[in-house]
Amino acid sequence: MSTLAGLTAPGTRGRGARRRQWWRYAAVAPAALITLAIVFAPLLAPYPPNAQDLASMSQPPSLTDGHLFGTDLFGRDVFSRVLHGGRPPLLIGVLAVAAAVAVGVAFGVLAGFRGGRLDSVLARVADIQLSVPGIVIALFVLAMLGGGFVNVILVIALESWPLHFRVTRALAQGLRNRAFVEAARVFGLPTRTIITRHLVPALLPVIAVTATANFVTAVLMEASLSFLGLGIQPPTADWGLMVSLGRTQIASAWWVSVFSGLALAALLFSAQLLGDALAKRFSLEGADT
Amino acid sequence: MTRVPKAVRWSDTVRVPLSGRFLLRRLLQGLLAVWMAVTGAFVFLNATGSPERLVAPPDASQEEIDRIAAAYGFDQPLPRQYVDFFVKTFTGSFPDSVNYHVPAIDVVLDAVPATALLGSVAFVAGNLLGLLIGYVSATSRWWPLRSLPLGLSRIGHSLPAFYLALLLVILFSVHLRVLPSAGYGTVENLILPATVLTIGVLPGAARLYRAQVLETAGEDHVITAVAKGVSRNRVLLRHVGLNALGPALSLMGIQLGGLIAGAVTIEVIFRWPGVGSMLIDAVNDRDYSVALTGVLLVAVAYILATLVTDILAALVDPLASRRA
Repeated sequence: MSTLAGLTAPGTRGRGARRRQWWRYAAVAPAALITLAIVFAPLLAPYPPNAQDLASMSQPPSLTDGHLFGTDLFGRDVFSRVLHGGRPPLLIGVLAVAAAVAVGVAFGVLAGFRGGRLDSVLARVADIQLSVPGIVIALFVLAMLGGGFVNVILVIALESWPLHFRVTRALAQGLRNRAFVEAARVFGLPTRTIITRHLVPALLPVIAVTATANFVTAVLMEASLSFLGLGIQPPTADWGLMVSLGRTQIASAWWVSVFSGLALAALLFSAQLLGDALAKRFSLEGADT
Repeated sequence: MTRVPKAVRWSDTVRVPLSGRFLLRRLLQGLLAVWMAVTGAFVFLNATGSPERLVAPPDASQEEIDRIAAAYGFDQPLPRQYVDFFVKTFTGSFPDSVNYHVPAIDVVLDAVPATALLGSVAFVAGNLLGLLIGYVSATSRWWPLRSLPLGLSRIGHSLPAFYLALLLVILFSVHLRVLPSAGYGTVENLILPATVLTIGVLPGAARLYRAQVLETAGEDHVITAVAKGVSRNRVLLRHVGLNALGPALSLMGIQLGGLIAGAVTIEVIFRWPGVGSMLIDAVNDRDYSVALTGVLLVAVAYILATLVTDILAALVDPLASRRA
């Protein structure tokens, strides 16, 4: 019991042993549903995303005439474009996070496990990188190199790796002297095997949590950059870009930007739910970065 | 050999919970970060091969490229350029803006007041509301107060700033016609962008403060206070609430810098003539002298902001300086 009525620290409100309740896994559903809809967009969309129909420009949303979310200034079906528009953020989010996790975890394990000068140099570099806002780095790099798919991935990965690095490094430092790692060392296993077989598996739950959190910021970054005209270029369907295109006509055709923004918000929110559920599942609550 | 009596140091007599070592280390870290940021920009400019081509318009002739190279000093040997780059960064003497034909630093500095106004309003409002929501959601005994404000702020947080801005414009400017959709100069113009930015600041402060209040409530000194018979509200406000402020203060430093950068999309939407709009305009017009000056200025401002708040946080919460 807490001394002050009504106040309990997070995680202490346990009802005995932790049971596996089915609804714990319900958090996967929204994210999975949205991902599937985006992946299978070409099958689900009633029109090709770039098919112009100048006979039906800026039609309002309608249940009957085949344009559920209406059409944009070029007569393109907004519903089809919303489905396709998730592909760049999803793909860029996944690839950028994969790159950031690969670099961050590799450096983090090395730094945390080995220690020494390598550790202090890497930690300092990560600290300094975190001390400059990501969008400023992104603006600078993209202004010089130009926007586009690969550059956006690189910029987001560059901005994100310190997150995974710091978490992995701290954990690796803690695990270095644990009994099971000690035992593997006594057993005469090479360092590489200890790292890949004993250390990395112990890190996986945490990596899952940081990667999900990173995915949210990566998608948000991609959308913001595309919105500003520095990311995905027209005529590709992309949520951030579509919100930006519809912005000039919000008074006359609000549906062009509202639905794509709604889809973006839904993806972000479902990914956040998933991240929270993962953090709870691995009891990392309160360990937010 | 006679022993010289130990001099009385000011730190022995004055009780300031700041160690000189902490200050010095933190200062050096800040300087190192500034050096790395400027060096990073320099390396990046040169790593692409010919920086004059990056800076020149895409259809520039060879003479024009040579002229730009001379104006920027790209025709000098690299070590010389490196030193010059630092001098130019700190004296603000990059070449004149291509569009406005005034020094780039003037273009950048002209944009600072608008961002400072928007940022400070959102910073104060967001943190006050955030602390309030965090405190209430940790201590209220009525469940709707415990969960609803925090839940709402999270939903607000998962909406991208530019989308939230758009929704507010549709509601308040297009339908209700009570607030202007864009512009600068009047209080009405400030309301919508400041609201969007406030909602971006608020959830972080609320969540962190809530967690810290809950953690502090479990500490021994709180049990002592309760056992002493101090009233619940007094324990919560003075013994828990005040002691839980440290981490929230450190977060404010990060936010302060984030406001400069986080306002980019908001400034563009509301045509707010701040640093964010200025950067985007410079990038779109290929006005690289202004873009470079702006990016370096933001980086230096961000590093200084975190430095100052880290020192403030160490004053308020001396343990933080040992954690750092």
